[in-house]
Amino acid sequence: MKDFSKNILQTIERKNIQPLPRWIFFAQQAGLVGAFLLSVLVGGISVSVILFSLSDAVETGMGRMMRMHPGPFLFTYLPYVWVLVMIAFGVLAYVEARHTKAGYRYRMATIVGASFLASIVLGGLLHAAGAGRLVDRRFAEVVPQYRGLDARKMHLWMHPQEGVIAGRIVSGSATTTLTIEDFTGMRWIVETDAVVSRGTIEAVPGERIRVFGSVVAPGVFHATELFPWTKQGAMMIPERFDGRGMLMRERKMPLRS
Amino acid sequence: MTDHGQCAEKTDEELVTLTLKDRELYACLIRRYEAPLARYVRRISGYSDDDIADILQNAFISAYRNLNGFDPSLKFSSWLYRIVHNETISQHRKRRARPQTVSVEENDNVFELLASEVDVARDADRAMTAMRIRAVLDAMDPKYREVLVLKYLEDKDYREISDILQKPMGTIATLINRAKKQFRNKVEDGPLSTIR
Repeated sequence: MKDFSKNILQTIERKNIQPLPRWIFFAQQAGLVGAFLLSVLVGGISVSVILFSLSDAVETGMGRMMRMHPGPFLFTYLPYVWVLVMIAFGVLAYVEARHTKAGYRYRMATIVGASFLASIVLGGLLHAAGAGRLVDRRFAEVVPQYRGLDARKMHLWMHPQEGVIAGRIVSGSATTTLTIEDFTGMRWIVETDAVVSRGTIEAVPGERIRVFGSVVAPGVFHATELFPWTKQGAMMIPERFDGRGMLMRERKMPLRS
Repeated sequence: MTDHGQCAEKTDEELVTLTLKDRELYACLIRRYEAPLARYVRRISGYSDDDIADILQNAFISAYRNLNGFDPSLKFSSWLYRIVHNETISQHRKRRARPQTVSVEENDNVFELLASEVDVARDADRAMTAMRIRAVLDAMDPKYREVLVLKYLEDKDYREISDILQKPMGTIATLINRAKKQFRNKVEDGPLSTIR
């Protein structure tokens, strides 16, 4: 080891090795922290879509639907894609945090737990602001392969022989009879004289509704319960349609049932 | 070149700052750490002096290149040990084989301290020779051997070991406990002379 330090300094000089500039280390750390925050944000958005989807399933009468079609019910209301996205970005957040300067000081469970907790809190806030629904619909519009909650629900609510139908109102009244067109294009006369409304039904043409009841004759459905297509509540945006069936949105509080 | 008196008065952190202005002062840090780091590499790897010199040269050049990335919240020694540790592991991988023996000095009395610290069978021979303890260390899992070396032979505390190995302190505590248990078991399992 004689003259060891001299040899190293000579090597450094001969190869013209310079200390890397400080900004590179700063940028590296800032990049990691930024990527971690971005992962938490994507996790939060995923949670907001999951909450939006789950909250749509939690309302009167849905227990019956779950018993009738447990598999499709879960497939419809638990958005697996977003659960996978949330898990993937949770793992990514861990990897990014672990590579920051002080990341190694924390246990995996601490980092993963903290990132998921942050995503859940953020997701709750985004869901309360209506972001979950917007993200779900926007993805359905721009990503052809993505099946949003609407598309998944259509299949679940198309079992007239088992007492459930859904579609768009063509005409009629929520207290006598409604004519609706289901998602296959078939028209139904829905008897609504003894119906219980679960949520705000405006009964305007183009409005989508879900119905519990039974088929009493070909093309005639006796309704016992009416549901708006999407569950409504505080900060939710009920669907409204113009006379041509075009979707309009209106913020409406409080809930009118 | 720098004179030794000029170096002795400076802390590691001061020398890092000064080295960034005057490369020649890096010699102070190299001289301060070359012997302990060489001993450390020998203890965890059993490599020859030439191999150790290569590892240290790569590590010191890497440290110089990354000097602006030194985190002042760490001890400089922990940061340097980490670089040397990583360089040693990298050498292991390049050779595709882990070292078979741990090299120790026969008169190294820290080995008796190690045997005492891990509470080797009270009724067994406490005055274990360095050679016998070396045989036990050789037979241990590398991950356990390296924490025992850092804790008992390099005299590092939990925070320093955590910073060197880049693992949480809780994990280090667990590793040390398991390492002590494995060390005890290997001592008590049979005659140490057969472990080699």
